[in-house]
Amino acid sequence: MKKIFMAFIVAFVTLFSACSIKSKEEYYNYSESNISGGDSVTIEITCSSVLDNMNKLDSGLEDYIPDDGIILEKTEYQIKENDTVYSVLSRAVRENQIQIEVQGSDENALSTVYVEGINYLYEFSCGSESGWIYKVNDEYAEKGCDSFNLKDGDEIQWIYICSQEDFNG
Amino acid sequence: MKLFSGLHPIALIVFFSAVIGISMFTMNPILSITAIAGGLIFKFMLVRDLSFIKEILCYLIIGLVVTITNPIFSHNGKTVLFFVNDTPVTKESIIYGCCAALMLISVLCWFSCFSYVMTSDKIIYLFSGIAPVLGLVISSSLKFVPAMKKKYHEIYSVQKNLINENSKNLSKLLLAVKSFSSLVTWAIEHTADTSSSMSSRGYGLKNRTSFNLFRFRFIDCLIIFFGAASFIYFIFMIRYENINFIFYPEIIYPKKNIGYLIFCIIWLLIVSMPAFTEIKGEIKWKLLRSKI
Repeated sequence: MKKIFMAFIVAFVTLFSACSIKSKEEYYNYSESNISGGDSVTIEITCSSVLDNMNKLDSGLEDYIPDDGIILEKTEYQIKENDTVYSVLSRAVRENQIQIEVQGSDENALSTVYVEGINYLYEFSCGSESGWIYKVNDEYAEKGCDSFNLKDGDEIQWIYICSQEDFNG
Repeated sequence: MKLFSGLHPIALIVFFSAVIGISMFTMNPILSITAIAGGLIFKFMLVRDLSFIKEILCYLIIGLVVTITNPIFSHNGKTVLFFVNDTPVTKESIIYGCCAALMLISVLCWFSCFSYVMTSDKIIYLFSGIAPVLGLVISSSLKFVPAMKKKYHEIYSVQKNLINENSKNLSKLLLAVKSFSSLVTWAIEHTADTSSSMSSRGYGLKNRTSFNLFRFRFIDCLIIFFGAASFIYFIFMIRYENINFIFYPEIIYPKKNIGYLIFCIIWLLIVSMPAFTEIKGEIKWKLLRSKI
């Protein structure tokens, strides 16, 4: 019994030491060093399709939808080599203090990062066909967002869709 | 002195379905806590021994595990407490976990009362007419775990004593494995025995009746009406009003209107009724006895 108890304590301490705990301020104060003059891309996060489907939206979320549907206005970011759509997105939400939840590439069968929710707006929050998708240069990419490599001048748009029609149109 | 369990099986099953069904679909800590309190008092009035404390401990552990697990998997919520490895732990997800735990415990608690009150004869009585096989399966599966546990302890103690006499170098684990293997053999044999015995007595045949002591009284009528009406009212409430808490992105309490208030009062009445009946019976019994 004593041995089991000790093993539990050791496991707990190891687990605890592997975690880095930060307060909210510490987390958001972080900013990556920007190399000026390098390649740059723009990123934009919108959810304007929700505005047409307010009746389908989960109750409690109404106050969190911006009036114009723009969560993050078009912003320019410097990119380094090997930067992907996902790395730019995570930098953008962290600098602008926007809530995000993602499913890591080790957690699903597609082995790619899946964005579940941005700004408290989750998949299935606005009807059963809703969720986040992204466009690069106005085209839907056929790749996961963490394997889409960016080049200079790319325009990323993260769009919340409420139904299949939004995706096609 | 089992007043509530002396009700007619149909009334009992309607009542328990209503209580368990409603507590399963409400994410409302106030309703869940009321249900847990009513259920625990009722269970205590039924068992009245130390196993009750063990049960409460078990519920506490389950509740703790659920409460801790939810913030690990859900990062939604407005109030971020801190970040662990760059993933947020939020107040809302912890509270959601806590409320889910309360809901789970209330369902478990009422199910344990259900399995205590609905003895196998009541289940057989209910189902032998419509679905004989299903009734037998339900009653034997409800009985299965306690019966196995009891038999295991019997086998284990016998084996232990046998081994102490013969050889002393048999480990505890080996002893447990040995007892378990004979337990499985016993369980299989017992199943075959039960089924052949039931079929040789003509269980499930047409036009076969069996003796029972259940009488349908006026109080059963009342309880069926009460249970069914409250369940219908509940369905109406979740369809048109909101009695559940909204947790994400911030906690919103249900609107305190007349419908919600009425529902709370009905719920309080329902979950306290079994415990109340038992306590009333107990007091009556004590009073009558002291006069002699």
